[in-house]
Amino acid sequence: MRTALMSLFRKSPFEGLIKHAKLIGDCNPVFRQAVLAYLDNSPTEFEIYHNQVTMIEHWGDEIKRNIRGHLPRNILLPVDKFQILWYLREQDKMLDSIQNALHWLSYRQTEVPDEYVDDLLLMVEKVGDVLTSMHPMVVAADTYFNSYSEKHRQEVKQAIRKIRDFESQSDMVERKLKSDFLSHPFENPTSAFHLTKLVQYMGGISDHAENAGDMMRAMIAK
Amino acid sequence: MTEIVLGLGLIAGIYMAWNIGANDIANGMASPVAAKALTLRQAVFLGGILDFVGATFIGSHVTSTISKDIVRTEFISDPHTVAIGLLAALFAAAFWVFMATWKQLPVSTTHSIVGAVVGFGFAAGGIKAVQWGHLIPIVASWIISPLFAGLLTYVIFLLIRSRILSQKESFLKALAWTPFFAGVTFFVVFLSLLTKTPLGDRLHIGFWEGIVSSFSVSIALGFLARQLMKKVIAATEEEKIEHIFRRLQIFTACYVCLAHGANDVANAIGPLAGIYFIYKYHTVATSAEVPWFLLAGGGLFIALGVFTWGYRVIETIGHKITVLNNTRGFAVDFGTATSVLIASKLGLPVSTTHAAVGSVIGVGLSGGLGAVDFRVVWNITVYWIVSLPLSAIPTIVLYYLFKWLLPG
Repeated sequence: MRTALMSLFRKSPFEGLIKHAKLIGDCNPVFRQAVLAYLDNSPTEFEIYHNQVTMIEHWGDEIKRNIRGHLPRNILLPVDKFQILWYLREQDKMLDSIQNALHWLSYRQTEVPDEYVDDLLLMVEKVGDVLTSMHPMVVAADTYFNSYSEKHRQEVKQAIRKIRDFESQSDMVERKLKSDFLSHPFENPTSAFHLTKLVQYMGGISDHAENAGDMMRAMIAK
Repeated sequence: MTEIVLGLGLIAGIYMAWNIGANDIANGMASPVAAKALTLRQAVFLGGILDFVGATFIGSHVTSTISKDIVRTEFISDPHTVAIGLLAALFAAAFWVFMATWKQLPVSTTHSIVGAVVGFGFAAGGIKAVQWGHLIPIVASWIISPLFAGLLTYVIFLLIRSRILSQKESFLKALAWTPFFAGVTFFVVFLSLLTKTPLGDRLHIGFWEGIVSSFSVSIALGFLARQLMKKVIAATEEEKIEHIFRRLQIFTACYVCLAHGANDVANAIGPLAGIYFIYKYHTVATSAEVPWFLLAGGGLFIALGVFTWGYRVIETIGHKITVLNNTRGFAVDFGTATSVLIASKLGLPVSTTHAAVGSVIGVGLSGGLGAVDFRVVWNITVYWIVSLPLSAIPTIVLYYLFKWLLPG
């Protein structure tokens, strides 16, 4: 027997998932800075952060393609392959939603009424919490699939619970903001539409995170 | 001319022994290196030494010269023809193993020499000279070895996972199970040494005596292992568990190397002993007394194969990502060694190489590995099958070449 025995082993897809989740976490400060630049009415600065997010999303797509490309039909994994692929899809949609939110912002400079700025920043904060919670969950899951220890399984569940909590908090802020924007007497109704849709994109980030968490929960189910 | 044949036979035997060492070292030492239980240097050093010790001190002094009586000697009675045929078989099999090593493919050295001998029988005595029925067990082993080992490894890893890894207080659970796992490991190793290698014959120990003595020793050592493992100091529960299995894995891997030297030295030395017998007595023997210096020489060149090319073989593993940890590594090594022992005792033909591949798949199926590529399994299987013809055809060519170059 030779190293051919070793060629039986393939790279675990979790390696790529961890990298991808790390990118999502890296998006948090950039996204925040982009929104702040938008609120400060600094389009040049906004574009810098907007481009950074676009780059990160592009790297994320590369990782996603790499993971998918290395999971042909004949690969045997400790979890259902379709669960992994579904999980990856949801995790990648988070990056897409961040990018879409910034794309959407870039189409129009809408003045956010002062009374809603704090809530909008709270929304950004809640979304940030979700973004930074992905990496720990994937790392914990990878550790669990290496050790199968109950302790690590509980850590994964804990990480999933955290994501759910952040999602429900961001949901509440999202609903409030939508209601506020739609009832605010904007001079141009396009502003209401623009801001409502922005909040929807931001809420989408948390929704996809929750979906990913649910998928992870299914993966670690005994 | 006989001196030339003997001289060439010696070169071919050395070449074959070297290839056996280079190709098969991974049987025992791939998973401990991959699981970081041993460093590359330790693995190569231990593997080489144990292969040498196994070949020299446990290797059989009576060996089949024409592997597994594949060829009917009544059809080929001319000693010079047999000597040339064995020479061609040795060169062809060694070259095939060399190619497989170069291409990084796990082939069975035993099957390669058998294929080569089939080629010689076919060339020298025609279709009737080959005992085709004797090939059935070899073909069966392509299926039996991986299936049996895979199933056993699957069960072993599931047991480790459910009884130890996924339990709370997992280290205490591991300690509680240590006498069982260590005891079973010792039992398999001792019983294999006593019944699967020529050591048992030399000590005049029968199968049941072997079972009783191995069992007694294993119980004692199992509980002793538990006492020793209690002193394990590590940061986390998981590391402590890995520590326990690391030691068991190293022990099992060492046994695989020792048994490999003892059993596979015959693949190089058998045909050479046949040539030596013809040179000395001018007659053909299906089995021959092997002088100790041939065994030691075989062991030495197997060890050299390990030190030279085997080193490179395992080095590539060391550079790879850690795909195995010690619990998985132990399951693979234990599954391989145990399935080879049980199957051979049941009279089923098994190859250590094939069993090891089955074991890896077994751990994969039980959810113990990140990702296992089943396409590689198919490629490996193809090489197992073509081992016979690709050893046989060059043997036929070489046989006619030697016949023309070295007329009797």
